[in-house]
Amino acid sequence: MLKFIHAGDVHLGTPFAGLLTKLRPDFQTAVQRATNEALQTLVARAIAEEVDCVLFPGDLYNSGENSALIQAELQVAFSKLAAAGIVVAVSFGNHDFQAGQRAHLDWPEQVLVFDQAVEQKAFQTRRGQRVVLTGFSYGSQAEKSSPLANFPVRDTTADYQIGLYHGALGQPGDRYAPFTVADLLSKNYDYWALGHIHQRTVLHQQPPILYSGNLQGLNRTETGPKGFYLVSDEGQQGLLPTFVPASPVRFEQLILQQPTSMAAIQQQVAAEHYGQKTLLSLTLMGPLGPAVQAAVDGDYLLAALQDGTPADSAYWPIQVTVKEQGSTRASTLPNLEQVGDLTAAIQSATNYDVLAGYLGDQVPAFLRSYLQSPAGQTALQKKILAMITKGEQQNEDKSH
Amino acid sequence: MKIKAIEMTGFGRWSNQRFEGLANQQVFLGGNEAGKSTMQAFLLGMFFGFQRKSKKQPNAYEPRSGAQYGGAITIEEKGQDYRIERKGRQQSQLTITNLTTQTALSDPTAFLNQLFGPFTRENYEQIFSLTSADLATVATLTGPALEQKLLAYTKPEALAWQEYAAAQQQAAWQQYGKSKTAKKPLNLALQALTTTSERLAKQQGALDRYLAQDQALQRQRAQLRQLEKQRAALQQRQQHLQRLRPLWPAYEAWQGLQSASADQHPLITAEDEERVATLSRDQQFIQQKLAELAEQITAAKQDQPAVAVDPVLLGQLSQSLVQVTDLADHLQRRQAQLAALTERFTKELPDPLSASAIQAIRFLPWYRWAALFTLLLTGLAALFGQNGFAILLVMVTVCFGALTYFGQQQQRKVAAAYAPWPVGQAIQADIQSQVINGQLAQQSLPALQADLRTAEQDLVEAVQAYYQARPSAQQSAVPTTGPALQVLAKQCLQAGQQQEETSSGNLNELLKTQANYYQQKGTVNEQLTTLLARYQLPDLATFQEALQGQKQVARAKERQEDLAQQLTAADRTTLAQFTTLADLTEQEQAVQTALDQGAAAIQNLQDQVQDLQVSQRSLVSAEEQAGLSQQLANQKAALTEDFLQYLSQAVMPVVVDKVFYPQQGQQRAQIQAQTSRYFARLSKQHYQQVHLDSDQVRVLTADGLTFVAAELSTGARDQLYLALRLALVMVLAERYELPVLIDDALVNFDPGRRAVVLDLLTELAQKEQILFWTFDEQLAQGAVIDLEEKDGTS
Repeated sequence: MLKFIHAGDVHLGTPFAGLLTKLRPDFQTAVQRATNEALQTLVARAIAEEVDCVLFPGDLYNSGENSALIQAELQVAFSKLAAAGIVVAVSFGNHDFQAGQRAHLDWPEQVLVFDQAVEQKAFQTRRGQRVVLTGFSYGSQAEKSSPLANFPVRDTTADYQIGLYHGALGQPGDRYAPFTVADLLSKNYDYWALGHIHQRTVLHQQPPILYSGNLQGLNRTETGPKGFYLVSDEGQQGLLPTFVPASPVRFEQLILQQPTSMAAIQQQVAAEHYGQKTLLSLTLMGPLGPAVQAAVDGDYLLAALQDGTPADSAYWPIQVTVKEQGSTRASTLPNLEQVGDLTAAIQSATNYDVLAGYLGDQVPAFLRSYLQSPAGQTALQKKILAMITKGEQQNEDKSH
Repeated sequence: MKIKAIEMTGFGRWSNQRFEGLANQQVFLGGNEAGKSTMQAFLLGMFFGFQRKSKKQPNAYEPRSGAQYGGAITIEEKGQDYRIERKGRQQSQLTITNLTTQTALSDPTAFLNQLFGPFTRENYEQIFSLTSADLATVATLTGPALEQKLLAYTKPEALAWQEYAAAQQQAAWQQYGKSKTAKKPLNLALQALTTTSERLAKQQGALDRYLAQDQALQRQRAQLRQLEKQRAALQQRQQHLQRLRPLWPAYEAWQGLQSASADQHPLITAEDEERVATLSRDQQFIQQKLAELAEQITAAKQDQPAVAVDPVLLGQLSQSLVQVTDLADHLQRRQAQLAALTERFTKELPDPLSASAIQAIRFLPWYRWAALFTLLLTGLAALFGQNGFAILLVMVTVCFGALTYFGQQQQRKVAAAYAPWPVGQAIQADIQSQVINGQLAQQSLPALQADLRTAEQDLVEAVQAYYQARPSAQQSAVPTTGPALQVLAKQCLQAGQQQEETSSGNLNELLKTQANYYQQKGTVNEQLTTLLARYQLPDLATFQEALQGQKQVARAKERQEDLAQQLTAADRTTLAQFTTLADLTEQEQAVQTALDQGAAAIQNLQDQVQDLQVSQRSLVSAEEQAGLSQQLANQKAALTEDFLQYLSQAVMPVVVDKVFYPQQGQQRAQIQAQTSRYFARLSKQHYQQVHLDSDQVRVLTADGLTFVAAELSTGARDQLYLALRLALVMVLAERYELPVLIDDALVNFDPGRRAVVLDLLTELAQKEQILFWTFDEQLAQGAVIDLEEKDGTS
């Protein structure tokens, strides 16, 4: 019988992204400690369940955010697991690939770290069974090579063989160690612990090939419960994974139809009865009530919602998006889309060569990279379009 | 628009002056002070409002005559006539009347705004108002502003969007400045981000220190463990030495006993000791008795005259006689035995048979029959032509034949030697055994005989010694062998014994006793000697010494064993390292010193470990680290959002331009091409092309040389700017038909070029009204108004 935990993409110490707004103090604290508390939950569960091993297939933490604190917290976690006789297997992914090349604290000998070349590491469980783990660590951020060819087929002398793989489905030449499900199945392993994709996904039932998702959601697109898989063959039906939620803070999205007032919004949100700290992204479908519309126009809707949120609530609004507002008033400004190719004009204007002329040397690299990225380009173009729409409406208001 | 009439009520030198029926190409001729510039200023004032007096504009054109400031113009616009009237300078009153419909416009300003579109007074002067002094002002239109200006001029619907875009851009400039010293909100936010990054980097820079400190901590802990291990070993040694110090005397004693207990002699057993003691006592007793007997015999001899034979001699004689008798008897018995056995055979005693002989005889019948059988088989084989088999059988037959022959030979021998015994009985074991015994007996005879001869020789010597003691007793020669010698010896013995018997009983008794004692003494001595020889000791004294020594060694060993209970083997091994107690004490002190040093080193290391732990804890500042990290993420998110906002506002004019003019520089190209054509004509094809770059104007000669505007001669530059102005007017004329005001703009042109300009103006006049003020009569062609004829008043 074998029992283990599969936890990909812990991203220990990584801050939450995209939090533009102020947070309530208890949320502030919870957000700052979220990844560490998720890890502590995992460790406590591992010890309580007396698992044989814990698998971390990549992105245990971000090299860019590595710190003494993170190293100390990892040391505590690993020491607890080692003291309980639990083996830990670590491979480094695209976010922490430098971790394998840089020094870190001396981890207990029960912590098995995979090198850049594919390796096999074997250990004996408490019940005397031989488990072989096969894995590798990234040597670069993109890792376009696929080391799967170097994974040997199942060791027939082992009672269990498990593969750790940080990568994405794809074709040779793609980023992040591309692989196919067929390639993994050809190795005849008992389980594939995947990492890299933050959404929990099952690629194959038996043998299990699956992403556990990240341990804690880090931005508002990573909604729902996050955690790890507890895997066991106690029922003698092969290795079966059971999801265990571990994130102390959850991102959620909520769509409200035609809210008539601010109070109505608060009531509908409260009715969701969130059981744990939840950072909430709201989408309001128009038409909106007058007070709500006024708040939208005055650009204070989110602040108003936050002010109206009860002090002991388990949720906190972080974003409000309004859709399908619509307007039937005519504008005196000619519709730019009818004047010419607005889309092409916006795309041309958002070309980075043009944007660079508006940026001084003090603009940091991350921002420049974002502006050059497809996501940044799309966001800027949307903003310009919204501004043009708003311009028409503003001009129309002036005309009245 | 076309200006049909100009009516100056009061404006500078002009008062109540009217000019009517102005042509499309209208020349106003007049020298200096003729009021050319005044008239132009009046027209601009009518279009855009009278300018206030200022440093830039010191001339307010106050009417010299004191007439009411202002005037009116009549224009034709889109087929309708309008009268534009402006009265007053400070707060001029503007009225516009549609002369066609005779209605006053409710919003004359709007009419004018619409009439002149996006053009401000400045724009109008830059493009439509040409003077020699400000030809160059068109150069300010080059650059990025040119496109936007052109867009504004040619597509007025873009104006609103341009205004919106300009407002957005202004808002963007309020948010961020590109220069390093800008203090706009986004600049400050970037600085805050940098500060947070630096603080976080310090935290993250602490990682290297943390890891290094952890490595140092582990090394120090390992050192500490090592030192503590050493200390434990030293303490153990110290305790050991402290425990051993009082045992030093015992150790010294043990060492001393070590040599004492080394005994090289064979160990005398208790039984032998007892035996020796007994023999020694016997020896002493016998000695004592012999001493007493010697006195007694001496006394007895004094009473006996007879000379006694030495009992020792008699004893020796007796002993030799016994020996000879025994040997003779033994020999006799042996010879009898041999004779008895030999009698059983016809000849002498045969030799015992070998096993092969016995076997040959036993199996002789079998060999005989076998030979016959194989012979028969040989005949049959030969008969049947089996020659090979027959040959083999012949060989077998020969073998059996040989065995048969050998057996028969042996049988004959046995029969001869063992006669009269049959061969069958002769080879039996009992007979063979008797034969063997007989042979052995026979072989032992010579040795027996030799021993007998030796014993007889000893007997002869004993007899001769007796005769020597009693010469009178010898009556014949002493035989050397045989029964005669035995008889003679016996006679001597008996005589000697009889002599003793005939002596007085006491002396004989004494002598006899003495002899016994002597014999006993001999036996005791012999036994003692044998016993001492076992221990390689020459005499009893040495034996006693050895025994004493052995006892001392035993005592020493006992003592050693006692000491061994106090001193273990390990203790002894340790103490053996030291020569004296002082050495041991010195070692104790050295260990103590090492312990003290070790304790100091341990304390030092513990302090260092503690310092490192404190330092590590300070590097792991949970709250600050996590807070900074999230703060940085938040700042980045906010900056991303704000910069998206900033950029979307900043590039809005670009978006608007792109929408209205998808091809960048479309208008620019048009103007550039037109300017090139005009300039080529003005320069008589010397300059072929004009390039309007983003920051300057360049010209290309027919020879392929390139010059910037500043490198041209004054005349060429004026031509260039004039060409540019006229090109702008021509392009803009597609949208705006506004009168072009030219005031002595050709002063720097030579006559030939002036003619070219006039041709150009004539062409332009097809589309735009040209009002041309000049002092040059040669340029006064077509419709001319001579201002000199006007005195400023009507």
